[in-house]
Amino acid sequence: MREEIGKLFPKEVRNLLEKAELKQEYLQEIRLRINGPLLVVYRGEEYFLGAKGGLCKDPGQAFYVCRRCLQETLEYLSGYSLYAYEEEVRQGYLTLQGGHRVGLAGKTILDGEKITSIRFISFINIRFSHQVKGCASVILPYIAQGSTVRHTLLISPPRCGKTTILRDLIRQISDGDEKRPGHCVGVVDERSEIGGCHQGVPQNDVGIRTDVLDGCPKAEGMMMLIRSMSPEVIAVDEIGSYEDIHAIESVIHCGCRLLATVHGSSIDDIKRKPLLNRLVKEKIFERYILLEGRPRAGTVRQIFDERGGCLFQGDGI
Amino acid sequence: MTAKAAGICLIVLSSFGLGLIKSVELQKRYRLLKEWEKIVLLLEQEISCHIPLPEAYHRVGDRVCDPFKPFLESLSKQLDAHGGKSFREIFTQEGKRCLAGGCLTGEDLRQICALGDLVGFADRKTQKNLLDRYRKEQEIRLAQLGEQLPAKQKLYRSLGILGGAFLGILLL
Repeated sequence: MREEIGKLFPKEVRNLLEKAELKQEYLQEIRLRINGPLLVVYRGEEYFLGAKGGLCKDPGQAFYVCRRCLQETLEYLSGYSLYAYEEEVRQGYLTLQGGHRVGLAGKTILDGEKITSIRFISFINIRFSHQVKGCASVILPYIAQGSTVRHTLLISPPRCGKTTILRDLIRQISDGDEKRPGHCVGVVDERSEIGGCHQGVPQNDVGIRTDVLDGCPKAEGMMMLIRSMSPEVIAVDEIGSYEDIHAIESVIHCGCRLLATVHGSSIDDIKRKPLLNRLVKEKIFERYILLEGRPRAGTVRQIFDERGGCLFQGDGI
Repeated sequence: MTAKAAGICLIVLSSFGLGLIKSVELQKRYRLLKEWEKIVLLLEQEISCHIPLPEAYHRVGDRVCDPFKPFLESLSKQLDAHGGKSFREIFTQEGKRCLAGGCLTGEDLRQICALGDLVGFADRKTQKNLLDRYRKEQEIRLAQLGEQLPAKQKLYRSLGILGGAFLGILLL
């Protein structure tokens, strides 16, 4: 496990993690809860960090997280500077160098109905980022043909790899290859999940011609990119609100190509959402990519064109 | 006789020199405290731009002179190292290590280390207000020092000369 990961934790936890000899590429999550056992998700399975080092399945033998331990972890995660992440904390997350996401939970402070902050943070979930280069290669030929990039909507249930696929799609479209030229891509990364920006610098490889607006609302971000960065392609994650749809129409009328994702399990699912149904009816999107989580996240189930014609069928259908 | 006269001259001159050195040190102390005031202002600006502390100290350190430059650089490195100490402990430790033994008095050092209690808060507004208050207190302190500076410098120089003259007469 890399040193910069170990440094996120107090010395006692660091020592135990070192004894466990975890491999970075299989480490998915580390969860800390005050007065709870320290949980590690490794190779897709859940373990407890043993009080004497190593991983175990018995919570009775686990290392238990105290308040001081969690607070010290929070200090290291934020560089002793929680104020610098005020907006992110309000939304319940931090992004670390390396693109890793830290989920936070605790007591929320409200101003009317609006969340202003989370005080007494008692739960931390560190999700380690693993960029999967090449995972979008199977769908790229359906989206980028010659110098044309088609308006594309990736439809997927949660945790099925749509953001990972979108990231790789952005990278490949931006870089180009011997068959396709590279394109200038603008990314509106509202929750820092695509680029995993840390202090404005993408921690994931998003391509050599990509500009990222980090932590920016999608609708405003799309307009800002069009006005200032001259993108050929704009990419956004999880569209759905009225403002998003309105901005998408502006993007398309400006001549930019659009890559977007949405939660759902089928095109019919999307049609049930009134705002998105309008986009489907008007044939705004030229490609619909359906993803699923089996046998693994990022599996392409089907690819449709704007008329609903099936262009690709995954194995097992 | 000649040796005695030479000795008396040396004593008078060194006494005068001592007075002059004290006067210069006072001036240097004033300049250092002014530099510290500038550092606090720069830090306030960095914090208002959401810059985390290790980065903020590194950036401010680039724009100031010794002995604060190595202090801030070292502080930034120690914060990044996550050595298991609280922010306050690291700040005080580095402050004493890098700034003690110079022109700054014990009280100056205490005031500088007090900054360690005022940063790292969760919300920017509180952070900014505390720094603003600290800076204003330092401004008042510096203004008082500035007012007293010419008189104190004159006093040290005069004491140097008079002391030297007194010793010279005593030895004659």
